[in-house]
Parts: sequence; structure tokens; C-alpha cells
Amino acid sequence: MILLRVENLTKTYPSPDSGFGKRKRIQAVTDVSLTIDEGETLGLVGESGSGKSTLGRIIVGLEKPDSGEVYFRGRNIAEVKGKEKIQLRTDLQIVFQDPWASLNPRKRIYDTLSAPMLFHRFATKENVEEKILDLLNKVGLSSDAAQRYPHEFSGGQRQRIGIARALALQPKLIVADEPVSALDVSIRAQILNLLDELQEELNLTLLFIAHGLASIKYLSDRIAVMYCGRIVEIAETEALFSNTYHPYTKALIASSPVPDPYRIQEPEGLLAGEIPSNVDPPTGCYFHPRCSLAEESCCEITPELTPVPGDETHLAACPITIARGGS
Amino acid sequence: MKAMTNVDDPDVMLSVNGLEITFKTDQGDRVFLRDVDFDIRRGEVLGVVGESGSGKSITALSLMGLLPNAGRVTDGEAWFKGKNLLSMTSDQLDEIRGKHLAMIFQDALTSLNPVLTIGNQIIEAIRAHQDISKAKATNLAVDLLDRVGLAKPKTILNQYAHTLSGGMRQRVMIAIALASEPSLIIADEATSSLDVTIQAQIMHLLRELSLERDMSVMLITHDIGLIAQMADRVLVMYAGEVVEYTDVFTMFEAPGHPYTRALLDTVPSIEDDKDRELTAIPGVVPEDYYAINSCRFAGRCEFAQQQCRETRQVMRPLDDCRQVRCMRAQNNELDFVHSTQCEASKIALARRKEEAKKRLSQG
Amino acid sequence: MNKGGLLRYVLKRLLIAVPVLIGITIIDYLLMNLAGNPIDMMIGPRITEAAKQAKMIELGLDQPFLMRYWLWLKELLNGNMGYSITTYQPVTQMISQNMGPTVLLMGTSMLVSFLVAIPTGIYSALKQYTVRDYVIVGTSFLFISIPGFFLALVLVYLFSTQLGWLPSSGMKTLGGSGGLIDIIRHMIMPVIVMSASVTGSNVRYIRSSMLEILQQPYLRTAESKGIGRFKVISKHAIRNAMLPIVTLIGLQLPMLLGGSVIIEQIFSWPGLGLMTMSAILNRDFPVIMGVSLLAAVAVLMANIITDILYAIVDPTIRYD
Repeated sequence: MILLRVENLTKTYPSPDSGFGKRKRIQAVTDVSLTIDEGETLGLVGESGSGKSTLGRIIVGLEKPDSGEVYFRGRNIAEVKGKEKIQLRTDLQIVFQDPWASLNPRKRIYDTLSAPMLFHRFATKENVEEKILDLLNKVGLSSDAAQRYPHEFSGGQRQRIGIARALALQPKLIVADEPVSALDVSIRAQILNLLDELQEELNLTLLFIAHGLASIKYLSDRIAVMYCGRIVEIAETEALFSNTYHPYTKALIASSPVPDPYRIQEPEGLLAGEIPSNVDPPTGCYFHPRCSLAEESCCEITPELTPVPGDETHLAACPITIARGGS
Repeated sequence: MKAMTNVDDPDVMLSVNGLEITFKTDQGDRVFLRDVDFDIRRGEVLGVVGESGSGKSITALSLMGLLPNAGRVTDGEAWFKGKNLLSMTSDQLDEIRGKHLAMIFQDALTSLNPVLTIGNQIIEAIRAHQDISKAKATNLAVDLLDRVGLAKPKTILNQYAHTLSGGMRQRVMIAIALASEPSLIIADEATSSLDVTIQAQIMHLLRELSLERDMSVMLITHDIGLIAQMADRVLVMYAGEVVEYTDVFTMFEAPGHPYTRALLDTVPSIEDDKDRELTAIPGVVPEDYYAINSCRFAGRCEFAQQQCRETRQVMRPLDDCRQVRCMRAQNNELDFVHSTQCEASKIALARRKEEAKKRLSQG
Repeated sequence: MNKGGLLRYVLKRLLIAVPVLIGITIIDYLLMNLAGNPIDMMIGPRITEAAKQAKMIELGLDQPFLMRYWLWLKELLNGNMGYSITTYQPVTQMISQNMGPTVLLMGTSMLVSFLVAIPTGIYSALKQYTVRDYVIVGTSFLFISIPGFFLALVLVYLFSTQLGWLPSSGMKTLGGSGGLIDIIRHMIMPVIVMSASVTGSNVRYIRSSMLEILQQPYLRTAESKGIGRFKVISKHAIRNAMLPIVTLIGLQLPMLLGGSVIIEQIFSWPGLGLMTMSAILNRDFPVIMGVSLLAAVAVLMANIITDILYAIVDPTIRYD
């Protein structure tokens, strides 16, 4: 069952370099459409300027798109009002990247967690303490954590608190925006595994945003690859790696260092050039200046996401490789 | 504990023995790094892998004489070109750094002076050790920028750091480091803040430069994927100590120290299949790790026993290709592969270098 | 440097400045009207109501507010700032007569202040945590806390009354031939007083800016090139210290015209400060308006100059 559907989302921001005359805008997200099924984990991967974080924030309601719609359980979230809107806020939650910045340093964990629960009537003054202890337990923290302040915890523990906060309102969908990027390597697995367990236990739907393909692969059922504000490929995890279509996805995979000294990166698979600017993206297919397969048409027409031969669920925005049946 | 090779061996660029670094804090002196031995050979890439608090960065900074005011070297020697870097004054070090020994830092935006042009900063590096005219230096600068893969090098000379992208800035840093043809470059998390595709480009560049100039690289990172790709030998650091010192193939095939093994089990890879489980390492680095005189990893180690928590651990060789700081491993109490792996590793290393050289000459 | 962008920026700022100026004058005029009527300052108990009215009409004080303002603005655009209600002198003349001495005094004070504060602040930052640093910081505190008039009186007592080395008032010796040395002798004490507290806070500010700069990673890069500690500081660090120094200069530039009423009073320095004070006490509208306008223009010009200096000194804020 489709839980979330996003249609033709576009979001731009004013560019800081705007002077007189034409005001340039940063195209953060351009014409993005996708769906997320209930209970699945959709991985969203991309480099700087890909728009993945912006997309996550729009979905959760922290930003309003310039155009396009977000449907949650069939309802357009922009049109929802009143009680239903408040309910919606509890259904969509987000875990932020920076465990240091996302907790109020002046509040004890107890206060941070209890406030939203009491406000939304998920707990009463009598049972809120019990519920908080339950939450802390679920994310692997001891009960005495509630009385402490954020600075008394390590990065990994704070991230757990962030997850606890997201869970407090019993959401249906959690957007995890780079939840492990700021953590030490030896603790990342703790958090990734935690998210995995919680998802199973609570039947959560997860939008997992990251720039590291490896952790995306580990957690996700399906993966969407973004480049310069657009989705260039979206497929089930297995299929994305074993049957890659879009040249950018291929390059991304080739560039991710594998922890195996026998598998050296082929320099030929690496990309040349810089990531284009979001203010003045290339014409046609945004990727064409760096693409080894680029043809004439690539700088004129912006390709649409089309299903690849033989697999309806696997979409790629590259007519060249689709015509070839592979890359 | 001596390093694995002879200090007088002409092939050894840098030999560090018994390095210890102490920091002044509000609560008194703290020994944040101790007992570090390693060496780097000509043309070799030494990967230094560790997390926050491991001491990898301060090791590098101490070699360059760039420790912050609160830190000082309290023991040890670092032999480089017949001199002990750690006993030199700032003025004496100025003869060496920038010339024979160079460093590139993590965040190129804050590591480049925002109010001076790129050209100014490169030319300064060139003329610091070479007595040539500004015009000649400018030409050299253009060549350097070209070599590190920057398009329109002449234009970049007049630009400022903030107008360049992250990848371009890092290339500029490499160009500055190369200015006087150093024999050793230290790269401290040089690509950690860069995008993956850009990181791959920069690493490829470093690899090429190392092969081309027979230049050694000390690659400091937390990413074991990078280590696998780039390093010839590896120093694994944890909580202010070296815990394993081995070559890269052995590290991945037959790690000797429980921490190294745990790292391999906890890091995901794009080559994993669906059923791969990531084994999380429980706990965190203890806050007062600098004060622990027994095994510092014991709190998180699945093999830890009482003796581990009571005895100071020392580095000892397990065989020809591995040294570890773990008494249980040294006493053969943990299962792992023996010397046959060393042979295989030597062969694999040699082959990898051959192929890289071949690829380079083909262009 | 992007000259075109800079030019456009300057023009844009100048354009915006005009409505700002007008706004200031309107507000100024409004506020002053609440303060009272200048006629009341001039009449004695024996003046009749009729005579007062007549005088008001003569000076144009009977028209409604907007009319008065509009008339004044018209005159202003013709270069006429009106006449003082008390001295009947043209305001422009009064201002130009008194502006010179004030600019001289303030300008010299500012110059002295920066010549002392910049090297001291930088030195203090380089020697942080040493005795010299503590002494410098302590002395700065001292200078900031000593009230200007107190310092002035102490100096006058010491150098004029007791030692007789320096004149205690005026800008030139009465009946004397004037000349540069004479003016300088008269200026020494007022300049010391004027610059003392400003120097104190400048030293503190420059010191803390410098301390921040010394933490920056690019200094480490510079040192790693082996160029030598001295060059790291003199070239890399100090170039970056220019920015906060420009900030300071910009903030203090308007003082050039503002002057200090108290100091000018104590030393009988014939400047704008004194003139403005009397005008205020006498409700002398035209003079007050003239000086306010001058002050507003000074602040605006100082801001624009500061912004230009920023763009020259800091490449990261050049405009497209």
C-alpha cells in the first residue's frame, strides 16, 4: 500500500549572488516524483547539490515546495487543515544529521521528550514518565538518561535520543537525514541496526537519506539516486547494483571505495569534472557534460524517468542506456 | 619496541620510535598518545586508520611541528633524512617542511587564506625553498595547477579560495604541497569532506603522483575503504595507541587485533550481499582512555579477559607481516591465519604496484 | 576585483541614502518641535504677547508644521540652511567655522588612537597569557574607565597649573601669531583625553579579533610551508586583521564631526560640540537641524566608505 506519494515537486531558493537585474535561483529540487510503500525503507542517495535533504524536509513538512504535491495516505498535505493537520505532523517525523545541534542543550532529555507527547496527548502527566522510560529502553539507553542533559552524552547516544524523539509521537513515516554521517565509524552500525530493528518492530516506513552508498545498500529495500535536484535512477536495491543503467549511478558505484584491497577502483570508471552548480545547471540532461556516453540529444532534451526493459519497478532517466538494454 | 625496519636503510624515509605526546588541559597534563612506532618507505603509502581520539592527527602534526600550543612531544624520535624532527626548533623545521615534508589538511576552505589569491599562496610555497624569480615561480605554479588536474590554471591564480569548489580547493592544497617536490606528503583526512566522486578523483591523483615521483604518502583516514584502495601498509590506531601494524592485504584477510577485526565486521560495503549483518561494536571509547594502562579496547572487545584489563599491552610481531598490541593474540589464544598469508600479501602488493605503474605509463 | 560590481554597489548605496536622509530630517524636525519654542528662550517678562507673535511671524514660526518643513527643505536644496535664531548668522557659516577645529581635534585623536591601538592589540594577542598581555589589558581597562572630564582636569592641573608646560584652553594663544607649533601645544591635552578611552576599547577589540585569527587553520597551512613564524604572522595573520580594523574605523568615523561637547567645553576648543550644545539649550531650530543633517550625512558616508573598504580588503564579499 502506498503511504507517501510525491508528484512533480520543485523547490528553489534565492541565490545569495543575486545583484541587480535577473535574480538567479538555486534549483534545489526539480520535478521529483516518487512513492513510498508502507513498511518499506527507501534510500535516497546523492552528493552535494543533489537535493536529497531538501526533498526529505519537504516530505516531512518543514519546507513548502514551489510546485508539486505531497500525498500522505492519499491526502494532499498542503490542503490538510486543523486537527487533521496536527495529526499529520505526528505521522511524519525526522531524525537530523547533527546530533550535537539537534537537541536543546538547556533541556533535560525528559523535558525534550515529554513536551511533544503531552502536547499531542500521547501521554498524560501520570503516565508520561513511564512512556519516556519505555522509549529510552527501545533505543538502547538506560533509564537514568532522562534526567541528564545532552552534553553528558556521546554522539552516538545523542543520535539515539534523536531517534527516541522521532518515535515519541508514534509516526508512520520517519525521514532519517544522514543519521550516521557525523558519527564515528565504529558506532554507525549500532545506529543502523537500531533503525533496522525499530522498523521491523514498529512497522515503520523509512526514508533513509545518505551520501554513502554502502549504508544505503544495507538498509534500503529500494534506492533513488539523485543528481543536481533530479532523480536519475530508482530501483530495488539488488537491481540497482546488479543491473545499473544510469551512467551517474555507475560512476557513483565505481567511486565508492570498497574495503577489499583485491578490488581496486578502475580509474576509467571514475568521473571527471565538477558537480554542476544548482544555479546554472547544464542544458538537457544535467549529467551530460561528464558523461562518457553523451550524444547530441543529451544536451537538448531533459530525459524522463522511464522503466527499463524487463522491470517495471526500475526506472532510469537515460534513453541511451535504456535503448541499449544496459550500460 | 623498534619499528620493523632499520633506520639506516636508505629506503626508509621516516622512522618514528616511541612517540609520546602530552597535552596541557584544565585538569592537568594528559598523555594523549604514547608508544607509537612505525616507518614509511620510499614511494610507499602508509595508511593510518583510526577514529576520533585515536591520535592519528596529532601524530602527523607532531612530525610537522604543528602541534597546538597546549600539546608537546614528551618522548620519542622521528628520523627523517638523518635528523630527528622532534628535537628541532621551529626555525630548523622550516628548512624541512614545505620542502621535503608537506601536509594537506581536511578542510581546504579554512586551510587556505581567504584574503590572498591562490597564486600568492602557491608562489609563496615555491619561493620559500627555491631561489627563483617571481615570473619563474608563476610559471611553475601554472604547471603545478595543471598537474593536479585544474582546468584554466592561469585564471585560478588570480582567484580566491571561496570561489572554488571543494574538490578544486583540495587540488590547490595538493599543488601547494608539491611545490618543492617533497619526499613525503601527509594527507590528514584530506577527502573526508568531499563528495564521493570527487574523493575518488583526488585519491587517484595522489596515487599517480606517488608512483610518478616515488613519493611517500602518509594517508590518515577513518575510511577503511580508502585504506584498501590506497595503502600499502597500515597503522591501526585506537585511543592513543597503535594496535596493529601490518600490510593492507593481511589487514583485510587476516587481521590480528580484535579492534581491526571488529572494524571490518562493522563497516558496510557496496559489495555486500543481502544477508550481510553488520556487527556493531558495543560501547564507546572510554572518556579517560589516556589514563588506562591496560588494554584500552577491553571494554568493547568480545575476547576480553581479566588479564587484558590488568596488564599493559605491548606491540609484538605475530609473524613476518603483523604486529599487534594484544596479549591474547600474541599468546595464540585467538584463531587467525599464520605466515602463509604474509607470502600471499607480498605477492599481491607487488602485483598491485606493477599494474598501477603499467597503467600510469600507458596514460 | 570586480570593479563593475563595486561601482554598482556604491551607486545603489548612494541611491538608498537619499530617502534615508529625508526620513531622518523629518523625524528630527518632529522631535525638535516637541521640545519647545525658541521664542520662549529669548523673551523677558516684559515682552508683550503681541510682540512675541510678531517675532514669530517674522521668523516664520507661525506656519503649520508641514509648511515649515517644506520651506526649510527648499531652502536647504538651494544651499541655505537658514539663519541662527540666536546669533542671526547663516547656519552654513557657523558650521563651516566650527567644523575645522572639531575635525582637527577628532581626526588627530582617531589617528593617534589607531596608531597606538593596532600594534598594541596585535602584540597583546601574540603574547597571550604572558605578563605583558595582562599589563596591556589591564591598562586598557584603566583607560576605558577613567571619565574623560576627570582625566582632563588631572592633566590640566598637572601640565598647566603646576608645571606650566601646556596651555589649558583655546586653540591658539590669544594675541599670539598662531602657527602650527602653537596649535599643537594646545591640542596635546585634549587629544590625549579624547583618545584615551577610545584607544582602550580599540586595543581590546583588536586583540580579541587577532586572537580569533590566530586560531585559524590557514595559519597552520602557512607554517607547514616552512616560510617562518614571522612571515606567518606578518603576512597571513595581519592581512586578515585588516577586516575587523576596518570595522572599527567605520564605526568611529562619524565621531570626526560629532566631537565631544564635554572636552570642547573643558578646553574651550572652538568646535561644533560647543556650538551644538548652545543651540540645543536655546532651541535654535535652524542650527540644530543643520548639525543633525550634517551628522546624518556623516554617518551615511562613513558607512559607504566602510563598505567600500571592506570590499577592497575582503575578497569574500565582492559583489556580482
